Amino acid sequence: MKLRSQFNFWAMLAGMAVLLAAPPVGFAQKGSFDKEWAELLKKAQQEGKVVAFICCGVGRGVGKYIGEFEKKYKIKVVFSTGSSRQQSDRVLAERRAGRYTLDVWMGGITSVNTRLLPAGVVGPIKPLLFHPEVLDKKAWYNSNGPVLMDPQANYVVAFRGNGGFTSEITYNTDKLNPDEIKSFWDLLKPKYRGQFVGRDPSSAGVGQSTAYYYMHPQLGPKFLHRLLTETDITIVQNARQAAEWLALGKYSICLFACGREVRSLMRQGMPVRDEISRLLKESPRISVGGGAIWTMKNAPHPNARTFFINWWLSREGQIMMQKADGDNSLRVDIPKDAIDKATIRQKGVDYWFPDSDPEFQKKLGESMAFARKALVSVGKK
Amino acid sequence: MNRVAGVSTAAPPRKEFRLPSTGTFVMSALILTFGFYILYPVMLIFVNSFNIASIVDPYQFSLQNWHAAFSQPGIMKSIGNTFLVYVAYTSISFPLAVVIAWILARTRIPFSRGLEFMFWVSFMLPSLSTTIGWTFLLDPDIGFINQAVKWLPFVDEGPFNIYSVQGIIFAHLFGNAISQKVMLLTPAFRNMDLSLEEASTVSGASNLRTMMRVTLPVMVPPMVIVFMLNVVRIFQSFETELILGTPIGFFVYSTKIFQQIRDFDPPEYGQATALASVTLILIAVIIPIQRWLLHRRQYTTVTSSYKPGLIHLGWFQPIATTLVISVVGFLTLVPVLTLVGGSFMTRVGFFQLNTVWSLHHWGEVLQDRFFLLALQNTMLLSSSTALISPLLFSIVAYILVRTKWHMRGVLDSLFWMSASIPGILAGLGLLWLFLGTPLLRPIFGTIWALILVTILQGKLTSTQLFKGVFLQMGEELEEASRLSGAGWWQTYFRIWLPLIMPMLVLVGTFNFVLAAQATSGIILLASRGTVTLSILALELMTHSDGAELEAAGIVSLVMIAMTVGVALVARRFGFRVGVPQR
Repeated sequence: MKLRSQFNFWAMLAGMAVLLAAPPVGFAQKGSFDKEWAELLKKAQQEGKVVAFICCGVGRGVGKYIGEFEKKYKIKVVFSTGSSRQQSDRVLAERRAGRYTLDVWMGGITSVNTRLLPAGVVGPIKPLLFHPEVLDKKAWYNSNGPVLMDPQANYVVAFRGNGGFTSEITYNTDKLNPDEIKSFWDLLKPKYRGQFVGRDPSSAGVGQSTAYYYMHPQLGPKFLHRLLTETDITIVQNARQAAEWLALGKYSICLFACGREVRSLMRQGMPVRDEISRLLKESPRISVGGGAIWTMKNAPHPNARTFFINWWLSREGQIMMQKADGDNSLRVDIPKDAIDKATIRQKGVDYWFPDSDPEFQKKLGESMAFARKALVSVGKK
Repeated sequence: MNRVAGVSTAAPPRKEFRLPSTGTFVMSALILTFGFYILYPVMLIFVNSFNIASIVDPYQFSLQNWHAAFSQPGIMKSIGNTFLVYVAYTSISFPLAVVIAWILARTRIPFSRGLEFMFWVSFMLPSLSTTIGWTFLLDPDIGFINQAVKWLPFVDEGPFNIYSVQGIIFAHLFGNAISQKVMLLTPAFRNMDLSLEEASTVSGASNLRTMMRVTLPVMVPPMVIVFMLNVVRIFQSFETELILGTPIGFFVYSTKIFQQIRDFDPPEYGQATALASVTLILIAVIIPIQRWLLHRRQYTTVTSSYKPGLIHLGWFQPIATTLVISVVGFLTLVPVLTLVGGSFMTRVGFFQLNTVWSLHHWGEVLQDRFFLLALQNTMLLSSSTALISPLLFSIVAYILVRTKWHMRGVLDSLFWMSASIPGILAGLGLLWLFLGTPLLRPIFGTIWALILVTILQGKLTSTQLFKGVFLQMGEELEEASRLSGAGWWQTYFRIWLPLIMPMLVLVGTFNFVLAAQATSGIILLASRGTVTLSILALELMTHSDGAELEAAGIVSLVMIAMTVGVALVARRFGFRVGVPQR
């Protein structure tokens, strides 16, 4: 017994010695990464620029901050913003004619999955990711690493993941007592009829919000149909008009992705809230919106592209994204003081994350078609 | 005998090869060039409307898109709505514009040139901005005018509602419907020979009778042209209807076309094309009608004895002046004040905010990394267009009106056909044209591609306006020049250009504005290096999750300031070089 315990002691000591003598694994990886990163930067600087299309909220806000990246790394970011649908038309026509002008694309997951991937113009992003901060699984929501948003899990990476409580419902604080709403089904009560305004749930930019109702196990098509046909909802073309009417008291509740504009009015002192700050019976979702990134096949500046993508998904890049947009990164290892309160993922809440479902795109189109049919049936389309 | 026999028995003379005449050569070149530019994209879009395969699959032709497009609910009602709105605002705007143009051009109204210029300014204002400006005044709940009326005793509700069919008609009238017609008609009215009106007055006719029996009949060509140019675009205007009609479930045909593209991903271009092709039927009706109207009699007003001059309206003159000043005031003051005031507000129209006034938006726009580049590009694009378009299309119009060359009708029809495709589809067609044509491919992505598109985008309006002027010009002016030994080019530059100078200035300014405001035609061709102010404004305006109207308004203001400045210089130059008219 004594001999055995002596052996254990010496074995433990020898183990410790081996551990101390060997170079720390992390350090060794970091050393090789630093070298690779520096080499990549040098090649990227020789290319001089990365050409990007940046949609949605990020595209609106990033212009103010991207200069920091350009100054630090001496790589110019030539980016444009606008409609993903039009950009898809352009890129597909260019590629057919053998023109390659774009390196990186950031946006929602509709166009890439329905048009760009089937046309074979998107390059794999997974093999390009090598920054340790990007590959660190624990740095991302649910410790799963970067979430890939395409059926092959190889092409599209999500970086945005808004949480909150019940951000699907935005409201006028003078006109609605949020305590009266315990479930989405309460919205169908006759007393709320005529009090809704919303963006067009059948249009592509609002699709993920429409799909929330259509695909949610506790809501589904029946709820969505009744919401669109029984509540006399007023449909407008853009979030600003919807949010302003809400703020001015023309309507009590704004649905279908009004959050960003309502938040802006809330900050400006208008009587509106960008979410119901508690959970309803139905579980809330993680919203990716326009927060995904991918690269084009045959990118004209391949090194600058790879450098930019790894940087964008790193801590530094995602801190900038949060500052630019006010939205919540899927990274969990960065400060969250710059983001909007309604986007914070609450502890202990079991969020539904439909965007990461490979079948999601199919259902997305289906839900929008369903909404269109419902609106047509009541003459609102 | 021998000679006679020789003649009678000789072999038939061999047909000698002759070079084609100048007319054949020029017409062939024009038809081939414009035909390719206009028809190639139209054909591509049209053929693709029958293709139901996805982008990666081989072509699969079917009538499915056409069936789906025309069987969608509400499509017939939307056609009815389109005609309802169009007939309502045209039946008001057209006569009003004719009267205003007549007052401005034919009567002794004070500040005539300045007032005419204000109609140009109104035309330069983006219709989206004017519509939004009016919503701030006439929204039933929050509109300033309705709020003011509610302060009156016994008034509980504001009387106006911009979100109605009447509101849509009103927004059209005080958008571009009146100003564009006045702008296009006034120069033609200025070309009126006073001796015709004097003869009528000397015969005892009143001013009204003279206008109805003498002035208006000889003004048929420009009026027909302006009217037809509006009819052909009946299915293209959608911004006003989209903003004001959607909340009340009122849809017109153009909003249905727009929905096919905006609501779907991938967009339903096939169905949109099927719907848009209805315009071709309209064009098939328009072309013979306008040809019949323009060629059934003589409309010459400017001859070698041309006598410019003005009529005094007597007691009616102050009333006429007040009418014109009131209309132009409504057309320009409201939108300009909304744009300028809104640009300094945290949120335009919102006086309830914590911070109402702010320079924030100006800072954002002026510090935008692409603003200066966009300004430079816009100047280059618009100036090139304004210089080249009038010269090019005045020559085309001359050929159509003044020569007897064959195939003129084909060329004219081609131009009309170009108006059949809405801008958003035409943009896609142009993208395919540039990428699919080896000659054009090298300039894709450069400013030259954009310049080419903007020069040619005003072809229909420019050519038709020049046609109207050439129809008013007497043939003896040209004959005198040619008899004096001048060649065609010399006659053109020494005789025609001074005579048509007011129209050249108008068309130049018109095309400058079109080029500066161009969006759908160039958006798919522009790269970041060739971004223009209009594209920058569009990006700001169309963020679906929150339009930045104030910043877009500032970009619009810069564009307006630029176009007004250029128009002022152009007018001054035009009046100095052209034939004196007053």
